Amino acid sequence: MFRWKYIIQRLVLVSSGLVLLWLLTNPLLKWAIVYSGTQAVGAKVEIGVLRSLLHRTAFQLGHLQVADPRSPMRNLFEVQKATFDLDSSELLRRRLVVRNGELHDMRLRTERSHSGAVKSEDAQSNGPGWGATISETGEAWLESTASRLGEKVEGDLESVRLGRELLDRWPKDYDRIESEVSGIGERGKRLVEQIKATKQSPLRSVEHYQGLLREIDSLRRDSLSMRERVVALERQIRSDRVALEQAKQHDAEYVKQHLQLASLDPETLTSYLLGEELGGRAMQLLQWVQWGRAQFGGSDEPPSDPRGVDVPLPGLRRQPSLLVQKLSMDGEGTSGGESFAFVGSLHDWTNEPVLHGKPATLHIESTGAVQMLIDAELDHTGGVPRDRLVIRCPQRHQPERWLGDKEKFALRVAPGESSMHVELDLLGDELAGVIRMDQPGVDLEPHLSGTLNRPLVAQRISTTASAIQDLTASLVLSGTITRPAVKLHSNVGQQLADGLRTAFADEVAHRQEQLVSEANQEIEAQLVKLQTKIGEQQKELLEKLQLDSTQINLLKKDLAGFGIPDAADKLLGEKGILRGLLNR
Amino acid sequence: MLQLLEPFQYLWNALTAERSPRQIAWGMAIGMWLGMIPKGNLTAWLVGVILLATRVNLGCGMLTAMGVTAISTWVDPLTHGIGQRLLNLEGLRSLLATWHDAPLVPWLCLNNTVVLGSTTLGLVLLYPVQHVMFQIVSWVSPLVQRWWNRKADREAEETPQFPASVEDALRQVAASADGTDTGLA
Repeated sequence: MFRWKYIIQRLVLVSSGLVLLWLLTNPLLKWAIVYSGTQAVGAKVEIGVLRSLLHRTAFQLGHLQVADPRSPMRNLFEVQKATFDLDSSELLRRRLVVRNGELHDMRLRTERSHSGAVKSEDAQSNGPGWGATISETGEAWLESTASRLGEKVEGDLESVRLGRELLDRWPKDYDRIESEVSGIGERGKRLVEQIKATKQSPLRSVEHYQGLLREIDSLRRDSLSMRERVVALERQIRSDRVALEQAKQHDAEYVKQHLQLASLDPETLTSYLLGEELGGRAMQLLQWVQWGRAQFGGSDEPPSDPRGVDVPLPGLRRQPSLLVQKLSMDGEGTSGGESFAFVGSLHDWTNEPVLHGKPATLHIESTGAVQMLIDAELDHTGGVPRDRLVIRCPQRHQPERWLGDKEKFALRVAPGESSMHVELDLLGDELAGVIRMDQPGVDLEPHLSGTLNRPLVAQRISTTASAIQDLTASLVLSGTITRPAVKLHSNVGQQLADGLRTAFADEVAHRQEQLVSEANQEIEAQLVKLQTKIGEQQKELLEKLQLDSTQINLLKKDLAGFGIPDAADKLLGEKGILRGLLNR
Repeated sequence: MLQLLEPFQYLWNALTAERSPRQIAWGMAIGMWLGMIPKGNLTAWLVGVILLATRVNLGCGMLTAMGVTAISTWVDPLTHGIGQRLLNLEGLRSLLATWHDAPLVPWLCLNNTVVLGSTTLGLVLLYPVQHVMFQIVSWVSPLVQRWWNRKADREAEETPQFPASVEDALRQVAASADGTDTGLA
């Protein structure tokens, strides 16, 4: 009645097909997960073991690794065991709905033995980022201050220049006068010799005597002129001293203006000290948010088939093809070398949030060295995506750290406990958020180096820093997620800015006085020495000129001895030629 | 040892059992239909079941399916156009919408233009392809059979023919005694 041969043959074929399907299910499923995961994440997804539980419509993964697309030698996370229970009725309707998923023993940011990159052009650059950019604004002030303090302005001082000029000119002038006076003296001596010679030979002609008289005349005139020049030089010295005083006043003003410091506002200093720390963290956070949005934010359009177009059917309520109703996770991570454990859950995540109508929510709690609560809501159900992220870290151990640049000005912050609160709201691409950090009972130690390291400044800053009991900072975010704007506020900035400004202003004033007085002291000492010397030289010169008049008297006597009765009168009488010289 | 190979023998028999020209032609037609439909949906699986369940030549069907699959993407524009026109028909869309939320129906992917178009085109071409293939196979099959027979005869002539049984041996001896050439050397 039954064609057993035919039936058996067909049964063998069907059985072979089923066996083949059973054998291929796990590899096919593994391939599908790896392929779709790699496409979604942009980096390698590796699965150690996959076991499908057809009777439960579930599957289990062992040793799942998802590489970090931006750091291919590290994993985003690694899961030792994952279980996914699927909704079988939805599966029959070609919808993958995970009713309950569990990720056990999850580890974050683990090292990989080989690169997880799939596309080389997706590698991110390691640029300075915001942190360094924010802190540069404060560095500029310190650079300017350091260069002001280290600047050599002595060469620009007018009093120094004038003083050096006088030191050079005065001795030369006096040397010249001295040599001329010596010259006059020599002429006088020669004249005396000539007259003595004339005495020996009295029969010399009248012309000879007239020549002698003319010489005496010239000598008298030259002596008079020399005396005037000596007196004029004394007047010159007095007016040079007045000019020097004026130059000193001018220099005091010049130094004051030249060493004037640029103004320092608290925001600038806060940016310098905390820019890299807070700004760097904010940048990292925004990068993760941006990446998470791009990868897991879903899309408005249904997944497209490579062949053909899926036409929506009328009257049919479309539902998302992939939905995770609940995914719980637990695991461990490290932060700053310290480990923490975490548990969390993800609800209502889907690749088509508009169809699902409910926002995806994520909640994570961590314990251990880092106590943190993360709550995130991704609402892409409307036309404009709205995302909210709140991170509360009420207690976090902070190791010793340095704020600022040790090569210029830095603050050593002793280890302590801090808290952090982050709130980020994204409406479309518009960003609004704040990151707040508090560290009570903080111990700050300032460190200055280079030209900024002055005793006065160090002492003042140290006093100001020790008065700061708490470190609070807030970073306000605005703008868009691709071009965020940042404003940093901190109590440290306000208090230290006042202290720094005062300390450096005092230092600059001290330096101003030092500069002017140091420069002028040297010049003053030299000028006093020179003036004393010139004063003595002047007396000597005048005495020389006086001596020459005495010699002329002798000449008078000699000439009178020659029996020229009116020669002496002509020379030395009331209206004598030489009388005027003797009287002046 | 031979018993281990028996399942494979069954498989081979299953694949080559149906040898008539009509069965070969139907096998190739259904294989063509299967090859045109994109895989990964229930429609292709159902056509595969039809191929397996009917008394057609499975070997030819599978070979045809593989060959047509390799070139099926070339006709995607055509099948997409057919599918689009069909899905624009209000009646068909309503029918699909009615059934689309039932279990397994979405896996048929009949709302996909290429799947619907290639299924329809394959169904339409089923009989014409079968008819053409039948004519070809009917023409080619005797030629192949003749060639096969000639080959078998040649082999038979070259190989010495031993009596199949004792009776045959006695008959041959009696014939040789009569002077009839028995062919024995």
